Amino acid sequence: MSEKYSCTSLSHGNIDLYLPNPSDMYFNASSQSSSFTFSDGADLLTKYPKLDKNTTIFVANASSKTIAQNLGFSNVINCQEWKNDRIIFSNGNYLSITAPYTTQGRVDPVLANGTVLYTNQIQPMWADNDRVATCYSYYSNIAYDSVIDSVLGVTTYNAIYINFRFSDTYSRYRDFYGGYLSGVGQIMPSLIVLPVSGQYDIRQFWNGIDPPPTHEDPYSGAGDSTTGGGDGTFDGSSDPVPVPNLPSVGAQDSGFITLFAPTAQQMKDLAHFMWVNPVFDLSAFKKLFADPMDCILGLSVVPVTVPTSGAKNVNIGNLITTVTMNVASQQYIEVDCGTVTMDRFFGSYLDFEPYTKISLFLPYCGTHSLNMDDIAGKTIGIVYHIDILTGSCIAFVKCGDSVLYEFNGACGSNIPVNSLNFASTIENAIRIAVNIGTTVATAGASAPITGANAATRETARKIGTGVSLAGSTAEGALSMKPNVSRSGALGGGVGILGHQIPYFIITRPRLCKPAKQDFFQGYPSFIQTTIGDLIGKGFTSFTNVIISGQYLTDEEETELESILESGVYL
Amino acid sequence: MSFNIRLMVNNSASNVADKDFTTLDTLTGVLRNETSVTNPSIRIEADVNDVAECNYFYIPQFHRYYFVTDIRSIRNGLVEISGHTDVLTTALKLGSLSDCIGITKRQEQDWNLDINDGFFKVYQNPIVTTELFPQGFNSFSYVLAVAGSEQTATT
Repeated sequence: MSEKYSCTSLSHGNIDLYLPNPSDMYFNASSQSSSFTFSDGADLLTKYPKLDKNTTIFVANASSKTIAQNLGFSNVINCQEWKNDRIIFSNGNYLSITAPYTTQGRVDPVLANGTVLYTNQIQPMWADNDRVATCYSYYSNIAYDSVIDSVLGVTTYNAIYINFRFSDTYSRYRDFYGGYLSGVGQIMPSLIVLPVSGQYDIRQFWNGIDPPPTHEDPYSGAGDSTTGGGDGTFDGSSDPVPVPNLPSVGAQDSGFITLFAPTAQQMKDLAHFMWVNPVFDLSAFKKLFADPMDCILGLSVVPVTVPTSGAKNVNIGNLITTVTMNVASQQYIEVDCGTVTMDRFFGSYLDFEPYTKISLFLPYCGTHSLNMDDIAGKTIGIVYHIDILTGSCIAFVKCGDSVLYEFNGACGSNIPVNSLNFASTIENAIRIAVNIGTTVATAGASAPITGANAATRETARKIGTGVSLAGSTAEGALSMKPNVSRSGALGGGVGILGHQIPYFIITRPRLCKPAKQDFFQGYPSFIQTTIGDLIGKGFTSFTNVIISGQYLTDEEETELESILESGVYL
Repeated sequence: MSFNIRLMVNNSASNVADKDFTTLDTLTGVLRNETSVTNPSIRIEADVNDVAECNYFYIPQFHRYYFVTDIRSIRNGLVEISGHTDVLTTALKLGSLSDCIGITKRQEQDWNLDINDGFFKVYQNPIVTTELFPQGFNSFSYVLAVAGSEQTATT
């Protein structure tokens, strides 16, 4: 309601000025009703709680000072004790404090350029036992009597007022407004400045004053806190996220690659054709390719039955062989591992994190920690999508209606068909040994091998330094990223040596529960209820309870609340 | 004013609202001395042996049940019994405790076990189990990738 200016005087420390809204404050001296109230009914002391018996009172003379001190004011200044001073503010404006008269003082607000906004005559308190004030504002004195009375809590007929500025006409019919100034050092810790309504506005004096540097909040840039929240929709609906469809376009569609799903005998027939068959004209072949193996992009074993679309002759580049093989009808294959319903074990908060932990072993992808909060009480399904060309695979973990986890891996176990492939395969085999030692596989895959020869040398070096090998390949886990060689050779996955069925590893707390814990302590409950509804239901403790109508003393009610909160048997 | 005091033996725990007690004796007399209502000390003419097992009493005029906090033998045939209000039973039987409302913290029957319960303790050795999925990878195939299109192949 009131407008507060907080500032620091250069010479007198912190000062607070309260400027009430003029409409909130009225003072009608005409009725002489000794009323000084605000429109909301509050009196001056309520409105400005700093006005109390510690308020410095400016009095006219020595006898008035004695009377004021007898009334309880501890800080009373005789007008003759008033000293000239300036209260200078950071914007350069200042209050000029002077005592030009014998029984009066002045506190004039002066702008930095020397402009005196108005001469604010301070009428000192005046003790007049016959209630006839000799100062200017007779009727105002009466009103201020009541103010002082309310402050002191006594009835006095001394014509006392703290300070007051009135118009030149001394009208009885006047509304005043002003401000309450406090904290002006030793001179006037509390001062009421009442400019006449409509004539002066002291705001122009206070505007522009910087906040006290000593009170600067280092977090002021963050803004002040506000009330908020409460606008939640509580819409707990969730859109299902199903397992996606297989890609509709594969490498075979390009015409540059053909995928076969040969039998072992068909592979032998192809090898025989290439290396034994005298019909195979290697010199003619080399007109197009440096090495016949360049045309064989990869040979691998994948852990699925590859659907086929009939047998066709195998072409090596532009060379048509007499060997026929089953052509893979699709590059991407889906494998559904089924579902597991994870019933809650305890049926309590212990079924969730961090008490119950769960990991999931996924063939070719390794072991991954899942959040039990996603798993408990839900049906978990696992579906793999496998690319038989690269050996890449991705495992979708579906929790309820939605896929919440996706892990990638490599499921193609490459079979070396030349020396470069062999080097890669050896390295992968070493990784398997290291990973078995580390027990738990990690997510992801090792970095792809981009240079077969470099990989060969690196492998040889690692074999010679087994310890560093283990350290550098431990992160490889049980999964292998597909190794696609630009020369046509394919690296291999090694998950084929591990378990082929996904499984959960669940770690649950082993509960230590005393017999009849429910009787002694009950179980957590956070329900608003009527106590009568709990009678006969055993142990109960309350977080909050409202006790009324018990004909108990206040102390007894407090004791009863304490007992109910600590636990009772109803 | 007639003043009654019913001396009893309380067989229930102090935090039981509906206590099981048996009455030893009911005395009627006049309250001669000043006493507190919440922590009364009542002198009665009785042999201390007769009231020694009393641990509970009820004063209808005070509208309160009391725990006996002390029994003092003043002289032969005069015993002073001190007590403190059993606010729980008093509120239940004489007040309107049943109509009061509150928010339960723990309850023996009306619970919600999904609320975290800091009271529980767990052993250091957890239960570790595994659970297999019904299917996995159970067949293997060769995959041969060659350059060129099978559509152009002719024998």
